[in-house]
Amino acid sequence: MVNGPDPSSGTPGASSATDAIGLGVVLIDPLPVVRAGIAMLIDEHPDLDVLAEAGDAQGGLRAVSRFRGHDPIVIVGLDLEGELDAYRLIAELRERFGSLTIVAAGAKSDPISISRALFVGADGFVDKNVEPGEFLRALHGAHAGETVLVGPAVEAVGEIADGIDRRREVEVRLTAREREVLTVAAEGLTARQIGERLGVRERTVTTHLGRIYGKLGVGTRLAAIRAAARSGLVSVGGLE
Amino acid sequence: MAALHRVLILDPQPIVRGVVRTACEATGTLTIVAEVGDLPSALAACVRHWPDVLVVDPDPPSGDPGTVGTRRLAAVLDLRAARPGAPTLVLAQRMSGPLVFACLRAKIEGCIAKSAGIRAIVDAVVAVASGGRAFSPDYEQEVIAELGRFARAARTERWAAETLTDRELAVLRLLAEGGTIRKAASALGISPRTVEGHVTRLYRKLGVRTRVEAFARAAALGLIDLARPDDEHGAR
Repeated sequence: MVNGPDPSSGTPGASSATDAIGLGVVLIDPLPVVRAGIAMLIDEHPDLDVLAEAGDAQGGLRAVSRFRGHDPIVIVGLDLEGELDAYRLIAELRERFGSLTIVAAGAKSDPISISRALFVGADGFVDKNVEPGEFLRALHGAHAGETVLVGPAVEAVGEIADGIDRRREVEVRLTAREREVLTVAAEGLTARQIGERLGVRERTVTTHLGRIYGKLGVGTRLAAIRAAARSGLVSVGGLE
Repeated sequence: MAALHRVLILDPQPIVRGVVRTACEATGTLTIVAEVGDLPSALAACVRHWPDVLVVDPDPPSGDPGTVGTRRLAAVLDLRAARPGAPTLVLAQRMSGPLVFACLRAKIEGCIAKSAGIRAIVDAVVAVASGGRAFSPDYEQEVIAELGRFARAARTERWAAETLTDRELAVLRLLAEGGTIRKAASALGISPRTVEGHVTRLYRKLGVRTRVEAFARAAALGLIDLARPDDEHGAR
């Protein structure tokens, strides 16, 4: 990936970004203590600046759109939950801001989470438990256009790629509507409840489910949900 | 004394086989049960000797030296199929990030360059023989870069599947191969006017205004391959 030239260069007095010595970071993580820890680490380094912090996805989106001209590195904590969880946020950021540098940060290096983050648009993954020096090097690497993977052993790459592949399969085979039905079904709702949620008839939901089973080559709803969970399309506790 | 691991070596170069054999046997835990130079002999040796460990050059003479990635592992995978469950070390003359990535995807236990030196090679054989993994840290960054490319390609494919119709993709590929609107129309059995309609929608979806821009954008997204215009057309 190629980063464009600094948009503010060549425009005298246009922005303070030209005066900033280092790279700007936007920090999005639900835990204040994690944000404080990362901010402290970044503040110790003159070549990095925390531009903004947010504890939820909406705040994160606002911060990124405010500082997008600074070509920031956005760190997204993967334990961000809710309607707009970490993965949806990453997808949204990638879609809205194109070439932004996005680094996913997680408390554990679990291959499915990493493959989900990379599939939706992260430039890399950093385990929050790594040494500070490694963390900072990863930020620089990601900003320079590298894919970064810090924490998991390189042997995990095979499994991460398999997860991405399964996700690609599911995404390419199912229509957007079918994915939506499957995602809601994974919450354990009945066809009638799914229909109510999506504003369609129960009969339509059953038809969608039938097509989904066919496309995924499964015979039951549980098997379909399991396939979706294995692909990282939905996250379901205890099914792995 | 530890049980001996019985090793098969497949390498086209007799000198490499000889050096690896001598060094392996010097460990006292490895014994070479077969030493062969091509895939057919290796497959026969698997049946006869049933080795515990496979040490394989990925490019034996029967292989196609031009291929990369998973296809380059064809000989290795054939051999693993002939001796399922045996830990395998890929011993490469031409090492690359994509090769290591392909090994990791195929769940192969190790991959090391011949240039790593005989000591490192023997350590790697011992590691895979005893249930471990052996991948050179020198290629880590390249492997991760490969993973990044893989993820971006998957994302693009998803985007294309969602955004472009099969017809639009077919039109794009026919035009990229140097076809005219008229030729594309007759190839698809539709009218030139309909092809023009597809082209207009393609431009809008790709966010471009000219055909050259469309090709450049589509190539950047990995939808078409401008380097090999006659390759895999109509493949989907």
